[in-house]
Order: sequence, then structure tokens, then C-alpha cells
Amino acid sequence: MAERLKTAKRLKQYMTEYYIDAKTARSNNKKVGWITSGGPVEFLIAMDIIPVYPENHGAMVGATHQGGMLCEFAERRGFSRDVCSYARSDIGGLLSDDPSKKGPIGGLPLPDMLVCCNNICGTVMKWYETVSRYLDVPLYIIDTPVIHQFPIPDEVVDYVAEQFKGYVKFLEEVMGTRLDMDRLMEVSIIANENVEIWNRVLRKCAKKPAPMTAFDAFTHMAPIVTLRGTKGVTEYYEALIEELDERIEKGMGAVDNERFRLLWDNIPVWHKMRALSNYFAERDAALVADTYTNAWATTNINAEEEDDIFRAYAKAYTPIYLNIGIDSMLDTVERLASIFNVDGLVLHSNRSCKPYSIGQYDIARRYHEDTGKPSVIIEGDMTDERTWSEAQVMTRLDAFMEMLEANQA
Amino acid sequence: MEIRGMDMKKYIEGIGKPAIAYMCTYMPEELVLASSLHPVRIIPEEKGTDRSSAFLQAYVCPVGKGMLNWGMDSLPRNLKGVVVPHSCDTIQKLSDIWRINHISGLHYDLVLPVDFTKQYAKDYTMKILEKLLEALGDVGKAATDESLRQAISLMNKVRQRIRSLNRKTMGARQFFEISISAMVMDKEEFLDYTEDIPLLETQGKPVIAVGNMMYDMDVFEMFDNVGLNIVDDDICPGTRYFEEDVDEDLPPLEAIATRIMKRPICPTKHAHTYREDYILGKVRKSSARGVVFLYQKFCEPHLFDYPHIKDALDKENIPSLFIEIEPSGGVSQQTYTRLEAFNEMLEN
Repeated sequence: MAERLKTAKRLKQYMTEYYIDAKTARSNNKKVGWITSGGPVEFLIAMDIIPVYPENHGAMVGATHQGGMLCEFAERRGFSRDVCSYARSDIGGLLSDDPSKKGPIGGLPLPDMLVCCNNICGTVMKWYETVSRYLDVPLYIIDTPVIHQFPIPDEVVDYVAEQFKGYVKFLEEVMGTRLDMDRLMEVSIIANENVEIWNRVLRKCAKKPAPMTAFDAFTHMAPIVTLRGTKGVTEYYEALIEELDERIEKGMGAVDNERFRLLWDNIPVWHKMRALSNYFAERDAALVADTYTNAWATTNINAEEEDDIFRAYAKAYTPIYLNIGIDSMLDTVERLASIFNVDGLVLHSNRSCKPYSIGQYDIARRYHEDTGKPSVIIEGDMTDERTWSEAQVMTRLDAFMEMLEANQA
Repeated sequence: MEIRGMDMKKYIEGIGKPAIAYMCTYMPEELVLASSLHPVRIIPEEKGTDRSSAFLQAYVCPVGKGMLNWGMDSLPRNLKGVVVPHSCDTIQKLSDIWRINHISGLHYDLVLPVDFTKQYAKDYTMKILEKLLEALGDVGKAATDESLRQAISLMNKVRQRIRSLNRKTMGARQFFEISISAMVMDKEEFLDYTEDIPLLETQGKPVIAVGNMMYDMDVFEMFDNVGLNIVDDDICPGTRYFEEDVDEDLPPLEAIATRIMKRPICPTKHAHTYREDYILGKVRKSSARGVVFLYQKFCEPHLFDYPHIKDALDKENIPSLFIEIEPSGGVSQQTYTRLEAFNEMLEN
């Protein structure tokens, strides 16, 4: 396996600084807003509010194998194990009264406000309601109706745009200051640049051999999710692209002898990142693309083209990957599979994420019908390591890899 | 469950009128009736082959699986389509699976707002109701102001009829058989059928049921057998279906939108502390001795609300019991024993 990307060190530094800023917000007279991963963070950035992502924290919790421990705090309070593990571990961390058991960074900086956009699931609304109740902080919900079929109906754009106006009012009330609309426009343009360069990062893996894998992308996605709308994101990804270009020039792949190119679907199994990465690498398979990180590579806010910036935001934030029909999701999968020239799909059926997982059987079936290529569905959970069945997953993956070998022979 | 002694699908065929199926109590049946169509809630069957597992994971709730099985089995010949009011994430995805596998004719997603307190949510709701009405008109007949008003009046009578039943003295099984029948039967026939229906009297301790879509009559019969009367509820086949009438003095679409926003709010909507206040209010009003949480497995929106409602009940010293119906359905001996123990614990 190739060496780790050198930029990873810079990423660590970058994210550490971000978390230090967030953790010391109060002493610096700054406010913290918790926001869902698909939420319109640009408004927070424009108002100088530090955005914090409980889902990003959930990923860290999973990666450090603390999911089960934190979930248990929530379970003791009555939250079922059938509730999303991001939510459970986050709520568990809030309920834990043991400072050493609040998560990998000692718990998230507490919020002054909560912003929940349900374009990724209905779960986040229930989760944020719970946090709002436990911490007694104001909550704003942006409701983005599911776009089962395109085009986006006008009444949906009107409805969501109205909520963006309400969002501004909410933030202004919490902050006691007005939003500078010019600043919002500026941040929107930067966010588009961020998205565009993140897309360029991911597209580097269309090269064979791919200079990085989806496992790298899962790590390096942190800035586009958490700091979108700031110039530092573009600068960081420029450095990453430089390193990826060097690898491409040298013909150096992330997997030494890349023979199979695969596409990953769903949120990663955070607590099995290393094991799965090694598993595929040992079998000369590179996960060259994924639907998860790609979701942050497509949102374009046409703020300059639209007469009304709120309508531009409504159009950008409503039809995101998890808020569209299964057939539209399949179109994305097949488009990515074609761009990245993959040999098959690995679909993580994630107990904690129904909007991502339900429909995967149809996606796998139709992908096979359309391309003749195979898929494997493995069952797991993004954060709660207690649900993982090693033997079952490995049996399925082994059979899948054998099929790929046979197809190549 | 049978309707008047008949298999449900056969009953629907027997109505003769073109029918439209739906998946949630947020469905405005008035629009279907006004379009000369017959609205029918999909009630999963307790028998038959499980075809859903080729489409849905094991961790999908039995309601979602049951509805898909209903669709994949032979459909009533007069079924012309399905309307899916968007409630939870599972129903949202189930709708897509239904649509892309071409299970029935018209496929309509009614994506309602999650927060009913805002004026723009009402404006949006009225707009999508108008579009649904147009789509239904293409399948049946174009609705008129008069047909809408007649449908509203008819549905109000149906709701009032169910509300008029004295739940303090009747068994849960019979009550929910009646309320579910209202979701399937021809509405006029339902009113005739229930006009003088003999009610089977029971003398159980009063409790309230809180939960989701429950359609297995064995579950309700368990309450009757144990000696508990469900005198009020917050469940899909109960008050969420029949509480709150449509205002007959308002313009029809506005009136229907208003009812959607005022009716009991389900956990898939944004309601902060509404649900525990609402349930506590029901306990006080009905003098119930306790609350039974009655959940189909894997229902995340309800599972999120449970700890909060439980906390609120505990603070008021109101006993409660958590029952989860396993995907295999039916009532296990363990569940039965737990309900018996709960009954014994309640004060007489």
C-alpha cells in the first residue's frame, strides 16, 4: 500500500485549529452554532458564527471506537438501539457526566443555537429537537421537501426560500446583529469555489491508478463539510491536489497494484476504516469513488444568477443526494461509476441511515441490469461498533472479490 | 383483518368504483372522494409470502414491509393508484420503490411540511393539495366546489361516528376494527353499518395507547383479554385518523389544509414538547390509570419521542409500559405476560 498522503498532517493541524477555535469560542466572544451536515452553513460563516457538526463528531466517535460506550449513555436514558447511532452517541455524550467519557475531544463545544436542515433525513429533526430540549438552546428547522422526481416544483422553491428568510431572522435574533447581505454573497461565491475544488480533488481518482481512495476522501472531506464558505478550504485542497498530481505524474496509486476499481455507497463504517481499507488494498482493489463525499461536490449556489438569493439557496439545498428519488440516486451512482470506470459497487447497508440504505437493493439490481457489473451489500452501522458482524461481512466481501477475479479472468 | 367478513382486497373490488390507495393518516381522503374515487388505506395482511425482503432490509419496520407486500400481491382490479403522504424516512423510500417497480397506476407523493405553525407552510400545503386534486381528477372526475363540500361533510360524519363510540365500555378489538374499517370501507356504507352496531361491553381498567400504525387485531384483543380498556389513544388507527373535523364554513382546500395542521401531530413532524403535553392532557381528561406504548419495531420517530414522554409521565407518577411488536408480528407470550403484570400493578 502506498504511503499516507502527506497533506494529512496539514489536515490534522487545520482541523485541530478549527476545534480549538470552537472550544474557545466563549472566551473569544464568539458564538457556536450546531448544524446538520447538509445544512446551509454559509449563513453562519457570514455572521461570524463558528459552525460545529455533530455528525463530524459522530465520525470521530466511530473512528475511535467510542460509539458503543457513548450510545449506552443514551440507551440508559431510554433511547432505543434502533435510533441512529450518530444521534445516540451525540446525545449519550451530552448525558454522560464523566468528563473522560464524552468523546474523543472531550465532547463538542456547546451550542448557542441549532440549525437543522432535513435534506439528509428526518432523523436530524428529532435529534436536534432532543438536543434543544436538553441544552435549552434555540432551534431553527429548514424543511426541504423530498424531490422524488425532477424538476423541482415551484411551490417547493417558494416554500424553502421563505424558510431561508426565516433563517436569517432567527440568526439575527440570536446574534443581535444584522446579516450583511454582501458578505453572504461573498461567502456563497467562496462556498461554490470550495465545492468546485473538492470536486476536482475527487476527480483525480478517475486516473488509473487512483492517487487516493475513498478512505482518504472520507478523511479529507472534513474541510468541505465543516468549513465550507471559507478561503482556507480552497487553499487546503489546492495543496492536496498538488500532492495528488505528483502521484499521478509518477504513476503512483494509493493501492500498489490496482486491479479492481470500486465505488462505495453510503456513510463509511467509521470503526472499520483501517480494516476495510487494508482488506481491499490486499486484494488490489481501490475504492476510487463514493456517493458520500461526492454529495459535497455538487451543491452549487447560483446566488449571482438568481434575482433572489434565498431562491438560489432553496434550489441548491433541496435536491441533494439524500433528498431525491431512488432512481435519481441510481443515475448518480451510474454516472460516477462511468466517470471513475469502476468494476463494481460496495454498498454499505447502514442500520443507522434509512434514507441512504433503503433502496440499495434496487440500486444494486438495476446497476447490474444496466452494466452487467456486480455489487455487494454489507450490513453495518457507521458509528456503533457493537452491531458489526465480522464473519458475515467478510464472507460476503470474499464472495464478491472472487466474482471480480472471475470477471477479470 | 377482514371487512364485514370479507377479504379486504375483495371488499375493495366489490365497491366497483375506481380506488386510490394511501399509506398514512395525513392523507386528505376528502380529495379522493370529491374526485369520484374510493380512498383506501393500505392495511398490511397478516398472511402471505414475504416478497418485501428482496427490496427492503431486515431493519425496516413491519408496516413498511407489510405495505410493500400488499402492493406486490395481486391488487384489487379497480385500484387506480397510490398517494403517499410523506411522513417518515422509510415511507419516503418505500414510495420510490413502489414507483420505480411500477406497482400501481397513478403514483403521487404528497410531501407535506414538517412544521405546521408557519403561514408559508399552510400556503405550501394548499398548493400541493390543489395539485393532488388535479392529479386525482385525471383518474376519476374533476372535483367541483360542491363535490368537495359533500366529501368534507361525509368525512366529518365518519370521524364523528367513530368519536361517538363509548370507548370506556367497549373492547379495544372492536373499536379498532371499526376505526380501521372506516379507512377501507365505502364511507356511506360505513355510516350505515355503524349506525346501530351492537357494541361488546367490557369493564377493564382505563389506559391510553401511544404508538404508531397497529393493525394486528390480536394486539388489541390482548388488552380485552387482560382486562384493560383503551379509552383514548395517540396511534395511527386511532385518534390521528379521526380527531378534528374539517371546517365546513371555510373554502374547501383551505379547510382541509387547516385540518391537516390542527389534527394530532405525529412524531414525524416538528412539535417540540407538544406530544408529551398532548398525551398528559389525554391522561388527565380520561382519568386513565396508565399509558401503554405500543410500537411497531424499528420506528425511529416514535423511539426518539419515547424517553421524553416517559419522563413526563414519570414526573406525574403515571405508570407506563413499553411494548414493541416484533417484525414477525402477533403477540408473544412474553408480551402478554408483561401486559398482565402491568394490569395487576395498576390501581383499581
